[in-house]
Amino acid sequence: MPLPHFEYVAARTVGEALDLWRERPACAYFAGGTDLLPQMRLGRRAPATIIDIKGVGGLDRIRETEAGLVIGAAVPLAVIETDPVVRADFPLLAECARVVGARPLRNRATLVGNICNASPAADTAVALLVLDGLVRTVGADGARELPVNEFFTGPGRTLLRPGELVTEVVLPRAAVWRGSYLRLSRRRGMDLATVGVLVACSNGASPPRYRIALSAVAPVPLRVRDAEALLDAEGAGGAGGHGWAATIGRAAEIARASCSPITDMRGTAEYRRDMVGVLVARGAAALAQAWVW
Amino acid sequence: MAGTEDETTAGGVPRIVGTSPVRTDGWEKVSGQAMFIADLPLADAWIGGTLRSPVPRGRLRGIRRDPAFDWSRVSVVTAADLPGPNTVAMIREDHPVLAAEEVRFVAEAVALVAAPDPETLRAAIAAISLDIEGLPAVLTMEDALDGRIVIWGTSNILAEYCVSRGDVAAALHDADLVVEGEYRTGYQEHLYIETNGLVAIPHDGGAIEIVGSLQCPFYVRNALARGLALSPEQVIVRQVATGGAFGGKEDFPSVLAMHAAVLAQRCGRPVRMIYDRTEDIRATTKRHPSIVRHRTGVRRDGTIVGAEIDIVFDGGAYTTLSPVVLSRGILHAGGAYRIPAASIRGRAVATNTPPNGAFRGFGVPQTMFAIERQIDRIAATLGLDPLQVRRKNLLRTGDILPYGQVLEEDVGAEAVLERVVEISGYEAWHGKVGRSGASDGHGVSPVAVDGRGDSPRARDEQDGRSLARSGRRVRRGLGLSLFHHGSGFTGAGEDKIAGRVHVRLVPGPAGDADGVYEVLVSSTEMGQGAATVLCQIAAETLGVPLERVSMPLPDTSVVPDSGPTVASRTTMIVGRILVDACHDLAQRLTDARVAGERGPVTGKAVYQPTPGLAWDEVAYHGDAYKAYAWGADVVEVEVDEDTLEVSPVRAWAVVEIGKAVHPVLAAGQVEGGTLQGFGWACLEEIKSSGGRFLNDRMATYIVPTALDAPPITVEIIELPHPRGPLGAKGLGELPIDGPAPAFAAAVTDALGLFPCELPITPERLLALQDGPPTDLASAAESP
Ligand SMILES: Cc1cc2nc3c(=O)[nH]c(=O)nc-3n(C[C@H](O)[C@H](O)[C@H](O)COP(=O)(O)OP(=O)(O)OC[C@H]3O[C@@H](n4cnc5c(N)ncnc54)[C@H](O)[C@@H]3O)c2cc1C
Repeated sequence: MPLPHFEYVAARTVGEALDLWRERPACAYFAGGTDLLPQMRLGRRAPATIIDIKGVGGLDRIRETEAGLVIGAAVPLAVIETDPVVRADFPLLAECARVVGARPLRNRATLVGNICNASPAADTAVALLVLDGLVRTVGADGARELPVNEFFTGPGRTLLRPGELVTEVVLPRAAVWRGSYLRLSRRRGMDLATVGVLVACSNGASPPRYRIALSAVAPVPLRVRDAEALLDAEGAGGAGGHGWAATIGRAAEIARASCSPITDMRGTAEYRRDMVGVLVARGAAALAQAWVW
Repeated sequence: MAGTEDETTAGGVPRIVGTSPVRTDGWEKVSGQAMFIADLPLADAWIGGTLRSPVPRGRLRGIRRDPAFDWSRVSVVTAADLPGPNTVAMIREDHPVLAAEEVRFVAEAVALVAAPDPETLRAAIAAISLDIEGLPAVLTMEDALDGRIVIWGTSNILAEYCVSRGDVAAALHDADLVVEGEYRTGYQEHLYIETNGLVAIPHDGGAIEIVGSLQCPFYVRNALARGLALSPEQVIVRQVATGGAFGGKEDFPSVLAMHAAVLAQRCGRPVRMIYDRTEDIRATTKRHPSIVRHRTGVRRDGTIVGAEIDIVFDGGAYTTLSPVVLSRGILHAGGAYRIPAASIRGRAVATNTPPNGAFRGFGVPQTMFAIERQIDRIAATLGLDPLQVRRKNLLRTGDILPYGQVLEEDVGAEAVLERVVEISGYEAWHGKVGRSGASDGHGVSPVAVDGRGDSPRARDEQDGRSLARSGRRVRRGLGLSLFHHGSGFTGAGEDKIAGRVHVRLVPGPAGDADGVYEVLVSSTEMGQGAATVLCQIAAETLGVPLERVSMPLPDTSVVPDSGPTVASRTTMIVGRILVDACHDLAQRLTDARVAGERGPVTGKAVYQPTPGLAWDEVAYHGDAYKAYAWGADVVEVEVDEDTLEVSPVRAWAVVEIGKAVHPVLAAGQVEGGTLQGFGWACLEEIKSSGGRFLNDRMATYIVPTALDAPPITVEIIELPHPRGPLGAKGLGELPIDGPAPAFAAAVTDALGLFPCELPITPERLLALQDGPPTDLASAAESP
């Protein structure tokens, strides 16, 4: 289907974006547009006005602040995945950003767009969940700071109120988390995740702390806190020790039980659930191998 | 590349055939100058759209137009408004232009609308509602065969053919073992880069012109002449630059052209219809899904003594090309093997799904997958290497095919097989690890198959197939396939088409010396390189540089009917007629210049039947094809043991095609066909619910990307064929016949599982792994 008619307006400041939203009918914010435009073509959304925020001053930067590293809403994924600070201090985010679609897509697609779209399969969401990311917004009622861990409320749904604009994402510098994003897709290029599992361990913390986040296997990307707690407790004495393999197996079982996948064109619920177990075990085992305690 | 050719011909002109010049259409395409149908400037054209059935089967009780809509702004056509018979002429006349009393598949066209702009068009279509009383639908081949619901003819059978040779019952009775297998393949969507699209332009006196993305301009002309009740001359069909077809623009454009033409006649202006991807996937043809059953009688040493093969293709709601797709599938069903006694039955059945049609390979990939898997099964059952069984049974010069054709020419089967084995290191791999699959000579035992209890290390030492890769346990496997493909139309097809070719010399300012030669054919360039290859053949035959030869886009009012661009026939069949036309031109030119004539001169030729070749259409017996091309693939796959993801990591393809007119383009055909075959083997799948296709976008219908393409080593062997131009045989379809079975065999080698159904997805492998063990030995009965 061709795109329906709509009005395009570009905001230059955050205030202007909010004003435009208030004044115009049926608005949608527009960053890279890589979710918005296909949804409009498919007739799933029909905004009368799209407000481009890519030119909003200050949103196109990654900057260091006291609260942590701040990534503006207009920064495309291609910039994030290659940013030296992100790569050094938040390698998980770089890794998750790098698997979104393909390079030309990531030249446009933004991190903030990825989480605002709130797909259960959003690849960067798992990194932000593990990193305790914060979402800064400005809306009619003023500014808010929302933990990413509470941000997603359902497929395509978030805590955002109508007209509320996400300005940036904050990555607190509590610890460096390392690990790997294990992602299954049917083909290598340009495909959404069938299952995504991020298993991470905090660098330098003693005792080590573990985090597990899942994508594409529940209505929202989610953390598996029970499994994390198990690994934290059993791993205190040093991973890789006797019984660790069994612990990993139990963590994988908890993760399997805590997801609620569906059968769709990318895979069956049964396969997805099985793979959550396989990938959590694999991710945790890889951590044990990669670390010298 | 085979053969070190002399660089010049006898006449001292540099050789052109066998070299790889820049493609003649290359520059205008890479520079963006080529005009595709969407680029055609047509200021006064309206846009056409289609209202489609939402149900797989139902009685169409009425079509209601919302009185609130201003219908004077648009033109609407329903079955009641058609100017001619409600049929799109193909093999049969069962395909209506628009559904009349009954709708027979989801997405069947019911009403057409033309409007000046997309918004009006959308609003108008939304203002039409269909009153349909649902009827029970037939959605699977099984339901079609059981015949409880009859939706076509008296038994849902669109076509049925049988081939037989020798006393099969006796052969199976006397065999040491009878091996049985059932194999299934799924849909494949062409996913050409450019979707189906064309423009219909009405002319005075009812004449109509079609300009479009086309594969077979004369098919469209014939369909329009019939459907609009016009003379063929009143219909002009022109091809514009075409962004891929793979068979998907062989039959369907006749439907689309009828739609655009009736709209154009109704609104009295050009009507452009270009499907978007979703409409194209929902409504146009696909590769026929198949079920093929084999019963093969073998001796203990692997020699095939007899075979029974039963083939079912899902034709969809109407006949389209199903009978000929089925026919080609049947004729290749025995594979590249000697089968002394064979009985092959094939049926194409009707279902309430979109009609399936031509797709590169045309029925052969389905039956080739089945026979190749069956050979692997025979090998596993007997505890032999699959290569050994192939070597024992492969066709050689002088052998007789199940339909009685004696292979008189050089048979390339052994050459391609041995070469692919050599360059891929197949024997070294299998030598190292022992015989594939079989552990004890009595077939794949489930214990050996399911290695889950062992540690990866133990398996490593055991067979070298396992390796640990960044925390993953992966296994590798190597699989082999041997295949062939008949060039040109089946049986007497080419005699009936009687293809014609013209070559015209248009003198330049300096006369003939700087004149240009035009190859006038109805063959279409759709990306495969036909325009380059035909110009090479003409240039070499005429002894002139390639730059002086061109092939204009076909226009049915200018070019003769050389037949459709299908069936791997263009290089071999049309190329051969072209050689004759060039000789005719040379003769006429001499005559004309001697007589003092100065103007353009045209050489002409028509297809010459080969004396001694005979085909009995009723008995389905005789010389089915003028020539066969041969191929062998080896594929290496990597399988993740836990996620069961499978990917091809390397492939080797060796083809024997008589003569590679343009080796680079030929290798490109092999690479592309191989990758397309991998897509069909492990990725591509139409998911449907209640007859409705669910994955109707490129984001959901998954084909391989460049990242999914393994390195593919291509080698071409040339055994020149006397009936091809400079020895060339057909190539276009051959490369897609072999990758899927080689891929499946590699999975068997890696995992010990025996997939019999495409696509081989992780879910299917999981089901195989969790299901009852594939006990190949029990599939065999001792008579
Ligand atoms: C071919 C293709 C492949 C893809 N592959 C992947 C993949 O592998 N993994 C994956 O996770 N995603 C994938 N996507 C989805 C998409 O590219 C990502 O979600 C991307 O990050 C979205 O960013 P964007 O800037 O384009 O968002 P947009 O489309 O501009 O916006 C997305 C949504 O967020 C809203 N929005 C945008 N910015 C703001 C803001 N500042 N404040 C409030 N609301 C806002 C928009 O109104 C819209 O609803 C793919 C998409 C395509 C087309």
